[in-house]
Amino acid sequence: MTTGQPGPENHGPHDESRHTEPADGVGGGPVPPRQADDDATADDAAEAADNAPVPDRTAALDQPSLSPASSPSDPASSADGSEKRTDGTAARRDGADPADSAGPAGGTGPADTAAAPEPGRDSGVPGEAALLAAVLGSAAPPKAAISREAEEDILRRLLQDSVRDLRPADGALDTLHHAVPVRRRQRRRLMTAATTVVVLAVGAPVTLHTASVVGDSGSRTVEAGHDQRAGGSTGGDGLSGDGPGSPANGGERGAAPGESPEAAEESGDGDDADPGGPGSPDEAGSSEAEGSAGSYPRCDREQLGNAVTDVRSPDDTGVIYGAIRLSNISALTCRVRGTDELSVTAVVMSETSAASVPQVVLRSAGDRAPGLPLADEWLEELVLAPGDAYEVRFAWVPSRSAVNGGCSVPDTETLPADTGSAGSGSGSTGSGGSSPGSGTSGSSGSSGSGGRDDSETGTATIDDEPAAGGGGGGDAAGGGASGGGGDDDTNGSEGPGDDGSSGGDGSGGGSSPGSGGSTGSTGSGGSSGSDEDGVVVRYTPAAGTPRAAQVELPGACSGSLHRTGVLAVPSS
Amino acid sequence: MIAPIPARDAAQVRLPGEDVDASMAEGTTVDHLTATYQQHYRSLLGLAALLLDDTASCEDVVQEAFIRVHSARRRVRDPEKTLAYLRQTVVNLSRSTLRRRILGVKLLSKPMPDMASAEEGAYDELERADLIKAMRGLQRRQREVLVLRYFADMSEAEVARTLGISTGSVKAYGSRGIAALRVAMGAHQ
Repeated sequence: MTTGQPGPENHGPHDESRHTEPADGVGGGPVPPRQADDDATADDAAEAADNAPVPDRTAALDQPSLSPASSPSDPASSADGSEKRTDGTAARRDGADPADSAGPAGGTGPADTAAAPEPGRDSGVPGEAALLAAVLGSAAPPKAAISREAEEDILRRLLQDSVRDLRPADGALDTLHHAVPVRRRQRRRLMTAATTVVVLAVGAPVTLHTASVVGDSGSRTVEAGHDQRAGGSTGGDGLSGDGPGSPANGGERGAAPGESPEAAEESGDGDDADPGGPGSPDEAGSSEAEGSAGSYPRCDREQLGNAVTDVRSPDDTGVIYGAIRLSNISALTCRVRGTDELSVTAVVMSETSAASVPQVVLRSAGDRAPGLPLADEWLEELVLAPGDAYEVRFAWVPSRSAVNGGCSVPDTETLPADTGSAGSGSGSTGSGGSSPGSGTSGSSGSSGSGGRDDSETGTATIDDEPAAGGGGGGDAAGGGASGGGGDDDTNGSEGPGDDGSSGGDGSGGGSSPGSGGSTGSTGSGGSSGSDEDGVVVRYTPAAGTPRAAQVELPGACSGSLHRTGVLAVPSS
Repeated sequence: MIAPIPARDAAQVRLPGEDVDASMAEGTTVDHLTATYQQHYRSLLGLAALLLDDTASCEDVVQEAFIRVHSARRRVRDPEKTLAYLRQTVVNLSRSTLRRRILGVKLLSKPMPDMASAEEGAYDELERADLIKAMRGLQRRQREVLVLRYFADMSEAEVARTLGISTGSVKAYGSRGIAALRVAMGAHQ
C-alpha cells in the first residue's frame, strides 16, 4: 500500500508530459525491488500493508493536494493493488523516512515532483537516479531552488552510495602481505644497482696511465700504471667488494653489480638510510679485527696506485722471485687488508706445451721458496700514510721435474708473431683464466698489442687505452644509469608514482656492467700477448678491481706460485 | 519524498571505514599494513571505481597502490600521511597509461586471485548506474576533481595538491564538472 502512493504520484507528471509513460509506470512500480533485499524492511512493509492500508491510503490521497499533478494517476495506484506486496517493500523504506526527508525535501520540493518519474523508469538504481535527477537533472528549470551546497552534498552522497557495495576481493590482504615484502626487496635491489651504476658511470672518465714494460735480459720490470677505469667491474672475484668509485657514492656500498645487490641487501636495511663510512664494505671473507687500525678508513681502490713490479732472474734452483708494490697515492691515510688476490695464469703459445694449470699457494715454512718471508711477517692490515707503499712478494717455483721451466719450447723468440692470430689465440686462453681480474679488461686488447710489439723489440708500451672491453663496460653502465634514473624519478617528484616498471630497466642495466667486464676479460688474455710460453701473474688489491699489476714470467710453464701476504715496505 | 531516502541510507554507509577505525584503535598490535587495509582499502576501492573507466582493474590498482606505498618505508613512517600517499597513488595509477603498464607487468607475474562472484555483481551494478555513466562522460580532470572533492572529501587545497593543479583550477573543474554532470543526467531522462 504504502508502496502505491509514491508510485502513482510520481507517475503523474509523467503521464502528462510523456505519453508512453503510464504503462511504463505501472511496470516500473515493481522495479525498485533492489531495495527489497532488505529483509527487515520487507517484513515491516508486509505488516504495514496488512495493518494499516487505510491510513496509508489516506496519506496517499493527501499527497495530491501538495502536488496537484499527481491526481490523474491515482487510478494507476488502484491498478497497482495486486502488486502491493512488492511495492510495499520499496515504499516502506520511503515511508520510514518522512521525518528525515522533511528537511531536505523542503528545499527541493519542486524538483521532487519533477524528478519523481525517475524511480519508475530507471530499472537499475532507482534511488540514486531519482536523487540525481531530482537534484541535477531537473534542477535545470527551477535552478534557484537548489543551492550549490545542497547539490554538492547530494553529489557527495551519490558518489559514496554508488560504490558502497564494493568489497575487497577475497584474500586481498593476504596478497598484500605477500607482495609488499617482495616489492621491498626488489626496490632495494634496484637502488643498489642504480647506485652502483652511477658510481661506475662517474668513475669512468679516469686518468689512464701508460705503463712501460721494460724487458731486458736479466731482470724485467713491469710498471703498469694503475688504471682506474671503472668500466670493467669485478667479475666473480669474491674479494672485490668496493666498486672502484666507492668514495663517490656517499656511504652507500659501491658494489659489484654481479654479486653485491644481494649482499648489500642483507647488510643494509632501510632503503633510504644506509649509514656507513666510505670504507664500509665489509667482506664476509675478511676476518681481521676491525678495532686495530680501525680509526682509518680502508683504502679505496683509487687510493692505491703506482704499482711497481719487480721480477728477479731465476736463481740457481730455477725459482723466480718477484714483488708487487702499491702505494697510497691519495692524500689521506688509509689501511689495506690482506685479502688481496694474486693469480697466475698459464699462457701457452705452442701446442706442444704441457698446459698444466699453475697454482697459487701461500708461502709456508719448508717450501721451496725460502727467499720469501714467512707468515709471521705478513700483516693482516697495514696503515698507509700518503706515499707509503706495501708489497706482496711471490716466487715462481717450477715443478721439480720440469726442464726449461716446464715449457717445451724454451725460447720462441723466433716464433712468427702474427699479430692477429697471436692475439686471438691468447685471447681465448686468457678468457679461460680470466677469473682473477676480469675487471681490468679494458687494458686487455691494447696490451695485447703491447705483446705484439714485444715480440719485435723486447720493449713494449702497454697502452692503457680503454679497449673494446672497457668500452662495453662503459656502455652498459650508461644503460644501467638510465634505469636508475627512472627509479630516482619515482622517489623524487612523483611520490608514490611509478617505480614498478622501471625496475626491469634498472636491473637490466645493473647486470650489464658485469657482463661488460667479462667481455673485456676475454681480451685480457691478449694482454699476455707475449710470444713465448709462460705465466702471467696478476695482482688485484683488496680494495678491488681494477687489477693493479701484472707480471709476465716467460719460460715458466709448470710449477706453482708461492706468495706472501701484505708486507710493509720500508719507506725510502 | 523519495529523494531523501537514499540520502539517509548514504548517511549510514557513508564512511565505511569508521566503525573499523574504532575497532582498530583497540587492537593496536595489528601491523601497519593490516591497519591501513582495514581503514582505507574499501574507500580506495571506491575511489578507483569512480576514477577508472573499467571497473575490472579497480582491485588491481588499489592493490598496486598498497604495495607501492608500503614497500617504501619512508612513505609509511608517518601513518598520518599514508592515506594521502595511497590516494595519490590510486589517482596516478588510474590514469590509463600507467595502469596499462602495471597491468602489463602483472600479467607477466602473478595473476590476481579471482574476484568472487559477489564482487562482480557489485561491479556490474556499478556499471549500470547512471551516475557512473555520467561520470565517465566527464573530462578526466573534471571527474578527478569531483571524485576527490566529494567522494574522498578532500579540501580544495588537497585536491589541488593531489592532482598537481592550482586551487583555482580545482574550483573551475569542479563547477564545470557538476554542470556537465547535470546535463548528462538530464539527458538520461
